[in-house]
Amino acid sequence: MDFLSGIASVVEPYHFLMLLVGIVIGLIFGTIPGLSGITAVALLVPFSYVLGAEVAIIMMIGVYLATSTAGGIAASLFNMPGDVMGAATARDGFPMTGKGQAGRAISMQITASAIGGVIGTILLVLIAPQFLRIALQFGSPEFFALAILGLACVASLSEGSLVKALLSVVIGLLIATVGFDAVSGAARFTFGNQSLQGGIDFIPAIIGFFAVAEILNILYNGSVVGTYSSADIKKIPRVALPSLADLKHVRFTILRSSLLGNFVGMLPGAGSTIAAFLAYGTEVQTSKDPKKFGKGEIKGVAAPESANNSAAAGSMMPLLTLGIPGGAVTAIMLGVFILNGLRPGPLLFQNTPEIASSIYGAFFVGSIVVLIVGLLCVRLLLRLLTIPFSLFSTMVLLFAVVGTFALYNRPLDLWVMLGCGVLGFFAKRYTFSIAALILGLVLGDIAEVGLVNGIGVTRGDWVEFFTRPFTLGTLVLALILMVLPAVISAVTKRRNGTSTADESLHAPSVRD
Amino acid sequence: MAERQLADGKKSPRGFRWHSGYEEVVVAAVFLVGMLFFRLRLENFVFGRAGSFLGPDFWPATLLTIGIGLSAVYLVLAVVWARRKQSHEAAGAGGPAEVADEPELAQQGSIWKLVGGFVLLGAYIYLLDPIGFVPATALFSVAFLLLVGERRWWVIVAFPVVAVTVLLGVFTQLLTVSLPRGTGFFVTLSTYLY
Repeated sequence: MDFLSGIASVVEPYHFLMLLVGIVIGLIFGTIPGLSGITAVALLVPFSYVLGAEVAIIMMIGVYLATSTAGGIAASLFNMPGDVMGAATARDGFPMTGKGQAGRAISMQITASAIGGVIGTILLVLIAPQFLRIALQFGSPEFFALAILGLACVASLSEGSLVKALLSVVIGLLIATVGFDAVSGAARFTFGNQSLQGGIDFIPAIIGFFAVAEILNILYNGSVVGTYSSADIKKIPRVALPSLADLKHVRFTILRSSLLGNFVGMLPGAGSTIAAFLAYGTEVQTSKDPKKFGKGEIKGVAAPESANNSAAAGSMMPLLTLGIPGGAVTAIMLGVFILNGLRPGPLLFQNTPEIASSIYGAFFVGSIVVLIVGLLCVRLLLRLLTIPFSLFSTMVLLFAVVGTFALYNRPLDLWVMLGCGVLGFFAKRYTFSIAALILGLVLGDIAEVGLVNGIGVTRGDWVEFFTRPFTLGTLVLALILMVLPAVISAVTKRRNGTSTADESLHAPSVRD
Repeated sequence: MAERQLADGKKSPRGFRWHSGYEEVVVAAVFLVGMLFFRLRLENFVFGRAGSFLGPDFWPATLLTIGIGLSAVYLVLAVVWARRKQSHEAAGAGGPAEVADEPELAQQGSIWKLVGGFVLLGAYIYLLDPIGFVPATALFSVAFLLLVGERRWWVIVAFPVVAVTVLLGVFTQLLTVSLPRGTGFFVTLSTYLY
C-alpha cells in the first residue's frame, strides 16, 4: 500500500536523517521571529540538486511541519510569534503563560500540532486518489478556473482590505508576464534586457519577499530578538508533557480543527495561516462559553495548532494531483520538482509513485518526530531568542544572497531578490497581501495558459469555455468567496453603525 | 483593541501602524498612474503578434485594465479615509492611549538603518562579480554588523571568517556551486582560497 511503503521509505536511515535535519532547521526558523518556514524551504532549494527531488521534498516537509509547530512556542511564551500563524495561538497561549501555565500551553500546542499532522496525512492519503480520478478529466479551462479560485481565496481570506489584496494579486500576475510569453513566445516587458527574457523566477522573489523584506522591516521597526535572557528561559519547564485530562477536554476540538484545517489547506491559496485563524474563530463561535477565549482557554491553543499542521498536509493535495501549488511552500516544492525534471500531477503518480508515497510517509513520520523533538527541546529552542539580532540577520542575508545565486548562477536573480525585498517591505508597511502577490506570480502562467489554450479548446467560444460544469462551478465559488466577506462585513457594520469604507481600507492585517 | 503610544506620539492600534492619511492617497495615485501608463503604451512593451485575437498582449492588457479599476477604487477609498482621519483629528477624538503589553525592543529601528541595509545589500550584489565572493562577503559582513550595532571587535573580525568558511564549505564543496571569483587580481586570490 502507498502509505505503508511511504513510511517504510522515510524510516530508512538516510531519508530519516534528512527529515530530522529538516525538522531541526524548521524548529529554528519557526522559533525566531522574522524568519519563517517559507524562507527556510526556499533556501533549501539549491540542495535539491545534490539530494534529488525525493529527499529534498522529505527535508522540506520536515521544515514545513516544524515551523508550523515552532511558530506558536514563542507566541505563547512571550507573545512573539515566530511564524505568522503563531499569532492565532498567542491569543490564548500567552494568557495561559501569564497564569503560570506555560508548560501546559506548550505541551498542548506541540501535541495538538502532531495529532493535526497525523489526521491531515490520513485525509490526504484517502482523498488524493479520489481527486486524481477527477483531475484526469481536467483541461485548460478547468486549470484556469482553479488558478482563479486560488487567487480569489488568498485575496478574500487575507485579513485587511479586499481591494488591496486584489491589487496584490494583479501585481503578482503582471510580474509573471515578464519574459517570453508561454503561448506565443513573444517578449513582454523585457525592456530590451536579455536577462529578463527568461522571466522572473518565483524562488528568488519568495526569498526577497520573506527573508530580505523581514530583515529590512526589522531594521526600520526594531526587533525583540535578543531581549530575553537565560533567566527568562529557565522559567520554562525543561520537558513539557500534556495531561490526560487536557487531552480529553480538547479531543473534539482537535478533530474538528484538523478536518477544517485540512479542507482549507486543500483550497489553492488558502494555507496554514488562514486555517489556524479560521479554526480558532470556529472554536470560539461553537463554544458554549465564548468569553473564556482570549483569557487562557486551552482549546484556543489546540484549535489553531492542529488546524495549521493538518492544513500543511492538505496543501499537498492540489500540488500532487494537479500540479497547482496552493501557497508559497508548495510553490517552492513545485520548483524543486521541475528543477529535477518531474512534473506533479497525474503523471507523477503514474511514473514515480514512490515520490507520492514518500510524501505521505514524511508527513506522518515527521509529525511524530516533531512531537518528540519539540517536547524535549523547548528550552533549547528558546535559547535562540537570546542570539543577538546582529548575528542572525547577517547570516540570514548571506544565505539568502548565496542561496539565490546558487539556484541558476544568474546575477539577475539577486537583483530580483533585492527588488522583491524592497517591494515586500512596502507591502508590509501599507498592508498589502504578500501571499496574494506571490500566488499571483506563481499561478500567473497557469492562469494565462489555461485561458488562452482553453479558448483554443472551445474554438473561440467564450460561452462554452465558461459554462463547462467544473469551470463554471469553480468560478462561481471564486466569486462567492470574493464577495461574501465584503457583504457580511457591510451588513455587520450597518448594524453596528460604523463605516464600511474606513474598515475596508484599514482593518488589522495579518502579516503574510 | 489596545492602542499603544509610539515614540513619535502617534497612536498605533496594536498589531499595525496608522499612516499619515495622505500616504495611502499617494500610493494609490502611483498605482493608478503606473497602470495607466503601461496600459496606454502596451505596444512598446509587448512584441510579436500584438493586437491579434488572444495575442501576447491580451493577458497583460486584461490585467492592466483590472488594475486600473482597482487602483481607482483604492484611490477613492484612500481619499475618503484621509478626510475622515483629518476631521477625526480636528475634532480631537480619542482619549489617552493605553500602552499595550508588548515586549521591549532589543534592537531599535530607524530609517537610516533601513536605507543603509538596502545600500549595503545592493553594493554586495554589485561587487560579487568584479571582486569575487570572498572579499565581497567579508566586506558586507563587517559593514552590516556595524550597521546593526555590533561593536565587539572580536565578533566583527571572527564572524566574517566563520561565515565565509561555512558558506564556501556548504556551497562549493557540498553543493558544488561555482561562486563568483572576481576579475584581475581577485581571480588569483579566489583561486588560492577555493
